[in-house]
Amino acid sequence: MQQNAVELCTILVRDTYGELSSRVVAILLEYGRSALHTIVRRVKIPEKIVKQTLVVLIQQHLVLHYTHDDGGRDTTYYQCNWLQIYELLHSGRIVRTIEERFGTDAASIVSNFLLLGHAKVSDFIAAYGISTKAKPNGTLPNESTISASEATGTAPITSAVQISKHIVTLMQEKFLIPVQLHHMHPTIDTENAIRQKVTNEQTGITAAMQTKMKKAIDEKVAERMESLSTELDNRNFGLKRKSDQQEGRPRKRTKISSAQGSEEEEWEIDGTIVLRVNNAKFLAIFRNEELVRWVESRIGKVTSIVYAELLRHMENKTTDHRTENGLVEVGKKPVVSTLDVGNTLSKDIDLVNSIASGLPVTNGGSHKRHMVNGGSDHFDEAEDSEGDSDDYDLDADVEEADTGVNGKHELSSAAQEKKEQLQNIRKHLALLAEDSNRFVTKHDGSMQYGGWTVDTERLCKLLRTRELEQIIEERFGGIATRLVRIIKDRGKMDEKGLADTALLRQKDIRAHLGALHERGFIHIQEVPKTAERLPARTFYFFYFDEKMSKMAMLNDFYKSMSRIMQRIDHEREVNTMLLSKAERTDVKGHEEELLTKKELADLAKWKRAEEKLVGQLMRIDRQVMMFRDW
Amino acid sequence: MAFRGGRGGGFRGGRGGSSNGGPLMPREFDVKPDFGPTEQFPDYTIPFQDPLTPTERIHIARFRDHREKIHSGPLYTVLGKRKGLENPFEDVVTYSAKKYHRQKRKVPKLDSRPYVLEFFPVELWETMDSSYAPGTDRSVVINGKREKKRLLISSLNTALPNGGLHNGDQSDGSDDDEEKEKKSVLAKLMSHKDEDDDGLSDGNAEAEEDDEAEDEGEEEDDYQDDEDGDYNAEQYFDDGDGDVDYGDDDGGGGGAWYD
Repeated sequence: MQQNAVELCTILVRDTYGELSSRVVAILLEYGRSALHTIVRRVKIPEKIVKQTLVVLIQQHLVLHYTHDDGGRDTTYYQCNWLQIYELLHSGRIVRTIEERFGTDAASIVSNFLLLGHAKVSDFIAAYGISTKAKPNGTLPNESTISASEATGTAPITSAVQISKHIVTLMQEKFLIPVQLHHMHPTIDTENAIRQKVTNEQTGITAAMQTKMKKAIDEKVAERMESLSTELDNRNFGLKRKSDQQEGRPRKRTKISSAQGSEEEEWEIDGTIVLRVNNAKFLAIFRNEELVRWVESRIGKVTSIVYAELLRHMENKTTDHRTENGLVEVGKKPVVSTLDVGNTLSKDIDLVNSIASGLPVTNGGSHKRHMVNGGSDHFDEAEDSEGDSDDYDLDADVEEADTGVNGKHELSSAAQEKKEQLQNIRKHLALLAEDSNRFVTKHDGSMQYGGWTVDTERLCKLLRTRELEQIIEERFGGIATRLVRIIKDRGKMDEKGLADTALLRQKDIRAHLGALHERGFIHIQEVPKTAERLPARTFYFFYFDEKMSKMAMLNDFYKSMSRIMQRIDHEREVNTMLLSKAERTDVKGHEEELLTKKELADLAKWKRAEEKLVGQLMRIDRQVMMFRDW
Repeated sequence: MAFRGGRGGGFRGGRGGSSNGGPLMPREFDVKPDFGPTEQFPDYTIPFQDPLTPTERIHIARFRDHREKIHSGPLYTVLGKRKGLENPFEDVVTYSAKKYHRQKRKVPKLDSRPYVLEFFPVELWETMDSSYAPGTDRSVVINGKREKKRLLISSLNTALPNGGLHNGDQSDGSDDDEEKEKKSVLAKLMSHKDEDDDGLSDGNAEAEEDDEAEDEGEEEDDYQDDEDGDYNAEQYFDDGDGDVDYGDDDGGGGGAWYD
C-alpha cells in the first residue's frame, strides 16, 4: 500500500466518520495489523473509546479482525481494509445506480445498508416500521419514510412485503450479498486457519512426510477457499423457496434474462441472514458504464445503448470477484443472444436511422468475415436483409422460437416488427464487433440471431492503454507518447535505436526520455559491456513496465485526491461561520428569510465550489478504478 | 535521471560516428545540467475543469447527501479542541449554539442498534452491549433488550441537483446555474427539515427522546472521563452561561457576526 493511499484513506475516513475513527485508521494503516493494546498505546486515546471506534469501523467493514487462539490466550488483531475505505467515495454513485435501475425504494434500501454497514434482514425490515408478522401498529413508525418521500414526490414503501421483494431482487442480482464470518477476517487468516485444519486432518503423518504432502495440502486449501466464495455465487443463496399456500396463488415474477426454470418461482429471504452491499458488483457496473461511454464516443449513441443492454445481460450472468489484480470473472464467459437484447431493449429507440445504410453495411459484412472466423450464416443474412430468401430463413427462426409451427409467411405484424428490431440490433452489434477494438465477439453457436461475448479483460487493457497514452500526451506532449508507444511495441531499446525508429534525432528525444523516466513511466536497465561498469561502456536500455507505471500513476492519483479533499476542508474552514449558521436548526429550511443576501450568495458559492471539487474527485476516481480495479 | 540517460546516449552517438577501436575517451556531455536555483513559481498553465455533466452532478448530490446522513447519524465524531487551545472569542459556548447547533458527538453512539455479535471479536462485545459485561446473565438480558433496539433508517433524498430535470436538456449556462444551485440547496435543506420534524412527530418519538437522553448522559460521562483536570474551563463558562443570559444578545445580534 502506498503512502499517498494511506493519506487519502485517512482523510476519507475523517471526512465520513469523523476524527476519532480517522485517528484509529491512521494508526492501523501506518503500523499494520495490531492488537488492541498496541492501538491504544499508539493512538493515545482511552481504551474504552478506542473499542467503541473499532466497533464502528468493523461494522462498516473498514477494519477486519482475527482472533488467534494461541494456547488458551486469545489475541485479537485488527487490520485495516483500505480498499473498503476507498469505496466510501462510491456511495453516491451506488445509490444513484440503484435508483436508475430499480427506483427510489430500492435505492433507499441500498442507501440504508450502506449507512448500516451490514444488518440482519429481520432487523432491517422491522426497522422500516413493519415487522414481518405485520403488527397492527406497523405503519406508524414508518411515517418518516412516507412524508419524506412525499416531499420529493415518490411513492413510499408501505409494507414489509414490498421491502422484502426489493431485497430479494437486489440479492438475486447480487447487489446485496450475505455476510459470512470469513468476510470479517483478513483473507490470509482464513487461509491459514483452513490450512491448519487440513494439516490436522492428515493424522499420523511425520514431519518428513508432511513436506511431501505439501502440494496436496495446498490444493486442498485452495479448493476450500474457492468453495467459500462459490457458495455465494449461487443465485439464490440465502433465499428460500416460497411456498405457494402463503400467497394464495403463485404469482409469476416478470424476470428478464436467463432461461432457467427457477426464474418463475417465488423466493423469500431467510430472515436470519445478514446482508451488505456488494461493492464488487458495482465496480463491474462502473466498468461497463465506462465501456459504454467509450463506444458512444467511438461509434455512436444508439449503438452504445444497444451495447449497454448487452452488457447488462452479461453482468446478470456473471459474478465478479475482487482480487488483488482487480476484478476477476468467475466461470466461463457468458453468451448473450441477440434475442435477449431485443427482449429488453426499449422499443422507442430508433435503431434504423442511426446506421448509415447501403454501402457501409455491406462493406462491413465482407470485412466481418475476416474478423469473426466465418461460419456465421445468420450474420450474412442480416447484412443484406433485403433479399427474399433471407426472409425465408429468418422467418423460420422466429417460428421455431415462438410456436414451432410451420407457417413461414403468415407472420403477424408484431412478429414482423420484432424480427426487424432483432435484425437492426444485430446490425449494431456487428458494428461493435467490426470495430478494431472488438467491443463484442461473435459466439460460434447455434443461437438464434447469433450470440455474443464480451472480453472485458482485454477491453479494459485497451482502455488503460488509451488512458495512459492520453495522460502522457497531456503531460509530456506528442513526441513522448510516440516514444512510449515505440518502447512498448519493441520492448527494450537503447537511445540510438529509439531515435532511429522514431525518426528523430537523439538530441531531441533525450529530454523527453529523461522526463518520462523521472515520472516513472519508462525505466532504464543498465547493461555493462565490461567488468568495470564504466558509464561510458554501458548500454542503457529503456523499457516500459506496465505494472510499475501503473503504480506510479496511482500514486499520483491518490495524492491529487488527498489534495482535493484537503482543499475542500480548507474551503470549509474559511466558511465556518457561514456554514454553522446555515446549519442551525432554526435556520435550516428558512434560509431565505434568515440569511442576508450576501450570506445566501456565499452559501451558494461554497456549495458550487465543493461540487466542483467533489466532481474532480469523482473524475480521478474513475481513473483509479480503471488502473486498479478493472 | 535525465542526466544519466543523456550520458549513455552521448556515448552511443559517439560510436555511431567514429569507426571502431581506439581507447575510449570520455566524451563531452551534450546535456548541460543547470544546477542554478529554479524559479519559485514557474509559469504554469492552469488546467480548467470541464463543466460537470448532469449525471455527475446527481452522483455528487447523492454523495453529499449520504455523507450528510452519516454525519447526522450516531457514528460521526468530532473531537473538540484541546483544552486551552480554544479561541476565546469564537469557541465560547453560547446559548444559541447550544440550542440550535447540531450536537457534536465526541464518541460514537453504539447502543442504538442491534448488532450481529458473531461478526465482532469477543473483546468488543462488552462495548457493544453492556449486558456482556462480566458477571451478567447474558441470554435473558439480550432477549429483553433486543426488542427495543431498532436500526436507524433514513429516507432517501431523491431531489435532482438540476432543478428536477433528469436529462441535460436545458443549457448549463452559468447565469441560471446559480439560481438552480440555490434552488437545489433549498430543496435539500427543506427535505432535511421534513425528516427532522417527522422524527419528532412519529411513533418513535419516545424512543428517540430516550436515546437523546442517553446520549447526553454519555457525553457528560466523557467529559468526566477524559478531562479530569482540576480546572475545567468549559465548566466555568457553562456555569457562567447559566447565570447570565447571553441568549438574547446572541440571538438578536447574531447577524453581525457573520457579516
